[in-house]
Amino acid sequence: MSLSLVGLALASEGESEGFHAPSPEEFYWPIFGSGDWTFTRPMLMMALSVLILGVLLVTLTKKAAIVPGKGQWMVEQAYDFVRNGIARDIIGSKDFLKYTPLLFSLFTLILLNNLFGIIPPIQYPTMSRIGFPIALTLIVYAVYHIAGMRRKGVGHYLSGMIPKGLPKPIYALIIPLEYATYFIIRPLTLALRLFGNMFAGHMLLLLFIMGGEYMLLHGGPGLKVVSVGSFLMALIFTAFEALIQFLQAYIFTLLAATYISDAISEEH
Amino acid sequence: MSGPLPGEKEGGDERGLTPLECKDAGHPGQTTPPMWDALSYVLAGPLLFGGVAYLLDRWVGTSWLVLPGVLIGMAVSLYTVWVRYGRQ
Repeated sequence: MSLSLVGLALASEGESEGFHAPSPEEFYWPIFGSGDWTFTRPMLMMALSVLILGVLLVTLTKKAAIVPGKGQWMVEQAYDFVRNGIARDIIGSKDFLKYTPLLFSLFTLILLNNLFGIIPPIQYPTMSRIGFPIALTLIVYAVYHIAGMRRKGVGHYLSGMIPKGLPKPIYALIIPLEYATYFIIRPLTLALRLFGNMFAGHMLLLLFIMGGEYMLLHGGPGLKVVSVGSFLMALIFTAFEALIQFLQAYIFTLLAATYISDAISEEH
Repeated sequence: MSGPLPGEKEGGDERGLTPLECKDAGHPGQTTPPMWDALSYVLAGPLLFGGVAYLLDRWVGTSWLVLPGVLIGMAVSLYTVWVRYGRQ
């Protein structure tokens, strides 16, 4: 007990001059305002991403031609990926068109905000602030439950969540588990998966870049040489992050489509 | 990606379907959720039954219920994953 206190005191003493490891506080970037009404950097980036996407999608598809230009082709590729690769394949031909705009918006918005994490002047993934994934998850949550209840009626929708044809006594355990999964754990994992991946990725890049910078500027000759390795790792993980950022945008959209499909499909 | 091509006809003309609609037809939709979602079930069991056991512990005044609660939760989770993903 006393030993750990000594360690703590030493650590806080050394903190004034030594290396600061990145901490969750690095994610708080107030711009103006204070308290609960502070306008922060991720808010600005979210607004910026909506602006960029809106302008980009409108201008690139304004003069839509049968033989597409380069810009139109790229938008069509992205749209095709979400429409056919996610919405149609998972929700099915009958109902997918209604949900395609939502899924496409989700995918492009999350992808751009994730990619902000490695785009040089910005370099901060918006989704590493938990509020943004929670807001997106709430939209998906409301959409799939309401779609299911409107399609099947509340009673039929709730009973449809329980798998049929199992031995009777098991239902005592299965029924609470299924409802906990549908109503609590699913949205929880959906939001936390996106948040956690972006948060950890940004933390990792911060560590390698800040560590490298510290060793290069404040270290002895030996540390200056080692800092090259740290910057190299930062470079490798930046490429790796690009993959994760795309993957997480894809998974979020895929799961949203799955939940909608699950809620409105007849069989179980 | 490609819109309706002028020359494309894949049946279904009698109901006046556009070529795009013909192309979209016949996708049944996915009945089993993808594997990513199994995580929800794996977490739900231990959390739910462990949580209930913890509350029971506080209510009754015992202190040994959480472990069996979590274990039962894990078992129910695995069973549900098998029911949902492994039973076709």
